[in-house]
Amino acid sequence: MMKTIVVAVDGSQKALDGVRFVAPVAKGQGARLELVYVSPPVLLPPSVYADAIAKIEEAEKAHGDEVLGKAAALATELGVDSDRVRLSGAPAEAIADLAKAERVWAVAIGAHGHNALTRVMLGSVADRLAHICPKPVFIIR
Amino acid sequence: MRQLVVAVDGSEVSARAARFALQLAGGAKVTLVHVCPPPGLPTDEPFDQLPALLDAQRSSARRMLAALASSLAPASVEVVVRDGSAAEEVADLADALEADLVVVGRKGRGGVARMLLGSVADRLVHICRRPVLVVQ
Repeated sequence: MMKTIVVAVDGSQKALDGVRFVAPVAKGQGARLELVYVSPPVLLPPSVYADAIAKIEEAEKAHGDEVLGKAAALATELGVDSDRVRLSGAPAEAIADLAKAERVWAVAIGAHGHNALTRVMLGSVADRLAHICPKPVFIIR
Repeated sequence: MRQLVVAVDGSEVSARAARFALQLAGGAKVTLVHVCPPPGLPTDEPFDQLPALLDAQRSSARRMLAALASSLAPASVEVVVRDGSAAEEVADLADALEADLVVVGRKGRGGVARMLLGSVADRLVHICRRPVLVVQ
């Protein structure tokens, strides 16, 4: 089984820095990148906003594919093979769950993503992932 | 990568972190660092014993690092002993060496068994200005 390094991407610049950081590591380890985008749950009362939710989810899916596409293009440019995974749910939990797979050698995540407050040194997703991930976690700055 | 720093506290997890770092290192320089905490003295302890206590801590740290370094042979690693707060000193050394990556074990010697992330690793990922790898 090919070993992989999971890289969490959310469309932020930091996430692409993560791809840049682990690309040479993946080459050294003979690993592929497993690019993962997690859509957070849409929190609207379903009875009232059923159509809206479907539309939001559709747009979110398209956005996720676009983000993954950009990250994959960067990986290719850096000479590393990559796969794309789109998940939904709580981001840190979803990534930690994916990392349980035997093929996953390590996980990389930007210190903060899109929701960052600039004064916070470590984002909540990276923080939570460092706590719960069953595999080594690269926190990229 | 040019320079890796590994935080070592003598625990098995930190030894594993060092081995993991060597896997990544390629031709990069690897520096093992141990930070001696300030001795917690009972208040009636005569303070003139403090320098001796610190010296004993430092030399025991150097022995521990030397043993780990030789277990990693033939790779050549540097060792550094510092005094102070662990996460702060490791982050400071990483800046001084312009480290590309700081490697730390998820849980060290101290700590409560039910905590998945030790306090040093937790603090380090918060304050370190360089990429950090948390190893299980």
